[in-house]
Amino acid sequence: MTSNKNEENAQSENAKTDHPQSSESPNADSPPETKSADQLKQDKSKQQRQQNQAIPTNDLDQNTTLNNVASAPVIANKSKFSIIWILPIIAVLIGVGMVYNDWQNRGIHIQVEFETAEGLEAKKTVLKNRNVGIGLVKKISFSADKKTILVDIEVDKSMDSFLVEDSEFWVVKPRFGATGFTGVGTLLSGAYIEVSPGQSNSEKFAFVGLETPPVTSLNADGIHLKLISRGNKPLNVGNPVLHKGFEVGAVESKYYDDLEQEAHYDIFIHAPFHNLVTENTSFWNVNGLSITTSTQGVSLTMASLDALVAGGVEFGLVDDAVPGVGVPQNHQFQVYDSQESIDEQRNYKFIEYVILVEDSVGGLHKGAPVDYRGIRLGTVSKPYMEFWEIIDIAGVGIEDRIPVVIKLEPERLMKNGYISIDIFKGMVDDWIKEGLTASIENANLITGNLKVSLQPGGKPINVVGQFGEYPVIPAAQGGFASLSKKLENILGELEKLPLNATLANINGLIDSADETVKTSAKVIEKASMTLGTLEQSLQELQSTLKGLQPESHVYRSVEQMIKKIEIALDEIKPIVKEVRNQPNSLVFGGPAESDKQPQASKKEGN
Amino acid sequence: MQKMFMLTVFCLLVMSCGTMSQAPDPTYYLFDAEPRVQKQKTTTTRIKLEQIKLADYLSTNQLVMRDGGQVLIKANYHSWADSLDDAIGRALLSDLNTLNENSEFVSRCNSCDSISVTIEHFYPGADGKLLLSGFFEISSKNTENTLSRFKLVDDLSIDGYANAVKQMREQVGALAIQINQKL
Repeated sequence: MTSNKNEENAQSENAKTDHPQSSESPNADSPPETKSADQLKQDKSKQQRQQNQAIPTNDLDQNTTLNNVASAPVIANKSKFSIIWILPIIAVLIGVGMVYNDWQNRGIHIQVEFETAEGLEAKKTVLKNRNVGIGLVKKISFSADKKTILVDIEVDKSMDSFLVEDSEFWVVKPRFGATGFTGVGTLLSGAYIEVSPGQSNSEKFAFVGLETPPVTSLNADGIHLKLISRGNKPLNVGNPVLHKGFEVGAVESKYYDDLEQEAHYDIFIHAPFHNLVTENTSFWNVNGLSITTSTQGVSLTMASLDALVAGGVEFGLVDDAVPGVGVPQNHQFQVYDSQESIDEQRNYKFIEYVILVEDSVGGLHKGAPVDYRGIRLGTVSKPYMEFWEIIDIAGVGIEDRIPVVIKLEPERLMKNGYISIDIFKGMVDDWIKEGLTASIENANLITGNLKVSLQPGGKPINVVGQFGEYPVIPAAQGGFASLSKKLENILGELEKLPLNATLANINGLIDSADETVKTSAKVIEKASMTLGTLEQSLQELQSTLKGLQPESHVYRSVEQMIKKIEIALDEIKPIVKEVRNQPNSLVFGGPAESDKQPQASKKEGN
Repeated sequence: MQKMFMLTVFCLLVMSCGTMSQAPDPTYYLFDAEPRVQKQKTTTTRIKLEQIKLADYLSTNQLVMRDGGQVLIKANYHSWADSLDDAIGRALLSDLNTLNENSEFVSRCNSCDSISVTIEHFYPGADGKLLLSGFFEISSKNTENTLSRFKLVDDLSIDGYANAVKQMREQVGALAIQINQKL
């Protein structure tokens, strides 16, 4: 019983200690506090712990403890952490987590430089690749020099592979170009920035955007080539590259080299058509109509409708050339004005000769053909040398012939072969020694253009002559000169003719012819009158014949008359018959027998 | 003496002339002796009757008769007053116009249906039979041409050509009935 009382006292003391604010125990007269089930459980467990601490292990201990309890109060340390701080701590932790999450998911900031911000809006314009949004424009600002626009874009963190050195950025917006309308879909959705990922491994976060969309993707499989045009038919970016009419690529960029005065184009040919481009491939312009006249007639060449409107460039092997080996990326080709002009404009290796012409060279132009017995072998380089150049070579007033410089291009004769220029020069020199001559001949009778014609059969010479630095091909009188000479001969012969006597004879002949004509006119007049009469007669005959037609009155009258004659003859027949049988009946009369008449049928009893 | 001889010869000649027998007078027969007055028709359907085609031996003004077997006798003193083909044509036109109220039969017409009649046999016989045979063809623009043969044989009721002609006219009337039935 004693222990129980001690326990009760301890409990009461503990209770006082635990709840200093409550001056009385729960069993006191003050109204009991309302406690939740958890609080009740906690109280119970505390009481249990205190009971366990207060229970002595033996009687001695029990007594000692009781004495201590009775002598000193139990002091329990008050907890310094108030439970009220739990909620702010949680809030702070959540905030820190959010910040971390935001930092963790934050995109990559890049900057793209454009010339204009047309169609772009901060926090609206998106960055796309193949219509998949991978970023958003955050800010649009000017560059330091105010010449360009800087567009800050936040790219999704997972899309960092797009941000490499050779990636390309451009604005997709409605455009009208050589290939027609593009970006029509952005009329409603608004412009966006398209990115084409590069193939480099080094990262980059500042780019210079393209002002026009690239014609071909960086990842496209094919070959990039460079074309040079010295003609006057320009190509535009986006123009198709054709092979036998099929579109296999496009012109990517262009620029004009004002120093060299030639246009440079970058083109791309898609795989697998890039295999068609070899070292012997030729490129030519296909825009517009091409009308060419030749000895084979007039030919009209027209590209496809797209190429006709927008232009384009076609490539292929011409003149049965063998393909040869393939070409590397960015190989350079020349673009010719047309397929027909390839032979004309191609750069051939050449050797130059000079022809000292005594005839006129009017109608001979630079670029005129040089034929060898009708086969194109070269080109006229200079139809005439400049005055000072002649003086330098020959001296003042010594040379009165006109030096015509020609280029002999042996590659024209061998599309797929090769010949050394030196070897060819040796061959030509040999031909000259054997009698090769050159003459100026008519190339086109209508336009009066001339050409240089080489032909063998001249006078053999020992040494090839030299005019300045040029070897000389001996000149022969050409067709035009010989024609002139023939004309001169004819005119000379004409002069020798007795023209006055001939003219007198001709006058006499004309007079007699005049008389003959007058006589003929009279005869013709008479003939026309006769013809008129004949025509009238024919008309009368026609009317007469018309009167004799079965429906005519005359015909009917004649018919009736014939019938009457027939009747009369029928009446005469008996007399004739009687006279034939008995001639004397005319005098003495014959037996006048009456006709036998039909009898009535016997069936009727007649 | 000589004068007496000449006078005697002249007298004999005169006497011989006086003994010459008198030749019978020729008789002419009208085939369609009883023409009818045709009523005015309002129809627009016209049918042309072509010229009647007769066998050659009938294309004469002499009446003919068959004297048994294959013998045909042409009369010397019995003749048609008009050509037989015209007369038969007139008779047929008259009969057909009388028989058929729906069509008008004419001898001349452009682009009309037409009837052509060919008569091969048309004569009385010594055996008392009257024969009319041949064929007629009806040509129409809308239908195929139809060719029909006809043969009419009647007994002669009285002797002589006069009655024969009358019955021949009646036979043509019977032919008109046959043609009308085929239209």
